[in-house]
Amino acid sequence: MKKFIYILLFLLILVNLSYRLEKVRSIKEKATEILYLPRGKILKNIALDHRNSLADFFWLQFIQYYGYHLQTDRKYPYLYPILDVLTDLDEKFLYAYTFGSVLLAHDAKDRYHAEKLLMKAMYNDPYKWQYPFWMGFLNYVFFKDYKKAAQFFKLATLEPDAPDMCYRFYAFVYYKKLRNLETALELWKYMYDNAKSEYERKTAEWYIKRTIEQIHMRNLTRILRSFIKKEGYIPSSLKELINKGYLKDIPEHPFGGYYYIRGDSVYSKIPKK
Amino acid sequence: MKRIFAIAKNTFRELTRQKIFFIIVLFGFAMLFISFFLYPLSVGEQSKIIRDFGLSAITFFNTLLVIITGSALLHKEMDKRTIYLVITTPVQRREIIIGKFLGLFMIVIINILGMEIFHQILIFFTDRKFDLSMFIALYPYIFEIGIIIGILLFFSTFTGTLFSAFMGFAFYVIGHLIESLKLFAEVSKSVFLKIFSYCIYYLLPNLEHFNIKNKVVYGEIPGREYFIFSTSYGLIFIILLLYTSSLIFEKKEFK
Repeated sequence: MKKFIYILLFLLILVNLSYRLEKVRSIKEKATEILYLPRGKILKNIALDHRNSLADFFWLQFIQYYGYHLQTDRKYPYLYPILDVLTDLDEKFLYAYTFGSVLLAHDAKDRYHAEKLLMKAMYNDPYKWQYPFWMGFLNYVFFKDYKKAAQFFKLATLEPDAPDMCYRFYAFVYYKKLRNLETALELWKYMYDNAKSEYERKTAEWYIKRTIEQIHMRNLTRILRSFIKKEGYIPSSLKELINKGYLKDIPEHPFGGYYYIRGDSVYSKIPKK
Repeated sequence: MKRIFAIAKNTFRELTRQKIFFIIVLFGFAMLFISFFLYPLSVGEQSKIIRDFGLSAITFFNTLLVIITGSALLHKEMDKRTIYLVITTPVQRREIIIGKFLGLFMIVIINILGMEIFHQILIFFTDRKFDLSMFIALYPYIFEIGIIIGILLFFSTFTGTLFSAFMGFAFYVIGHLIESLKLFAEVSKSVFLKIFSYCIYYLLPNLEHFNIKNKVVYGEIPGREYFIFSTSYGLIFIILLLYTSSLIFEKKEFK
């Protein structure tokens, strides 16, 4: 019995110490987070035949790093360095390239590295349609560089296993060469359907809603302007458009907000939660 | 042949009685199991992570097992002086080497199979289907492990346990880094260095020839030619190592 109490006592002390250490270390860790990241080419040699597992370890680090900064300062200075090391170790880590480039473009607003990462993917794994497709996607949706987007969508179509979607986007962007909300909506829907993680799905969902909101605003403004032209005055509300037969009904706001008239345009308001 | 199998059987039985054997195997299984719990953190890459970590755990712990147990394979017999008993019987010395090799080789193969079956169960829980290509990924590794056992036996015939273990580990590391030597040879301007590097590159075992894990995980299974060449390369290297080990062991004097 005495021995059992001693062991229990030791265990209690250890648990207490561990808890205290956890607190002390967490303060330090926040300050010294990723001060040094070894070069991928060196790690590749050190990892011997366990390169993929080490890449997976960096992937877990990457997710934690991203998650932590997403909830705190929303600054991601090490996002690309981690992805660079990770893809040096595992040159075919498709999801790290695609998901990583979206995060770089969307969250870090770092076009240079988002494109650099996808260029690296295309160099390492040149027969995948996904990389030029995502390059086209980023250029179309985030960077609004339609010429470049068309070039990369075309590149994606050259791969034998490229889906029809690549041809559609290429044709659309190439011939129209202008921003089209319906195309953007289709791209985001593709991203939503093919999302592998909850975060990716939620991001796509948000952009889908936002694009729908913009489509509604564009269409309502078009109708409003035709009303003003024919009736000669600005209506007080959108309901007047319905009463006069210009509009069947007001479309449902994707974010739960409402549309209103200001001048000769229709705007959107999202109530604060 | 009967004598070889008797030695192999005895080695097999002896190894299964060692505590270190069970500790390493247990750690291997634990690592496999832990990888299963990493999947909530892996954001969309659960399948890949469970495959990568599984294959790494299997190869890492079996290499460790071989280096630790294989380096003491002959020395135990010498330390316990049971070798004196064996060499007085009609058993030839080369039969001892081959028997010891087969004993350890068999135990590792069984261990790899057991771990892979467990790995398959974990894959099934994640993907709701088995992935038998993992067995293909591990097939060339069997020859890698055979070569490492051969190297350990070779050094055990004339050096101590610690040195043999060190050499086994060193050859494992060199074997996976050797392709950098070829790059060095290619860029080297000195003809002497070029020839020297190429000689070492082709003479030392290139264990990267047996590493297809990184490709199989992405569904890229090499063609038949690869399996014919890697099997031949592995078998010939093992035979060469066992043959040279036997030659040295036959000349060894036991005092």
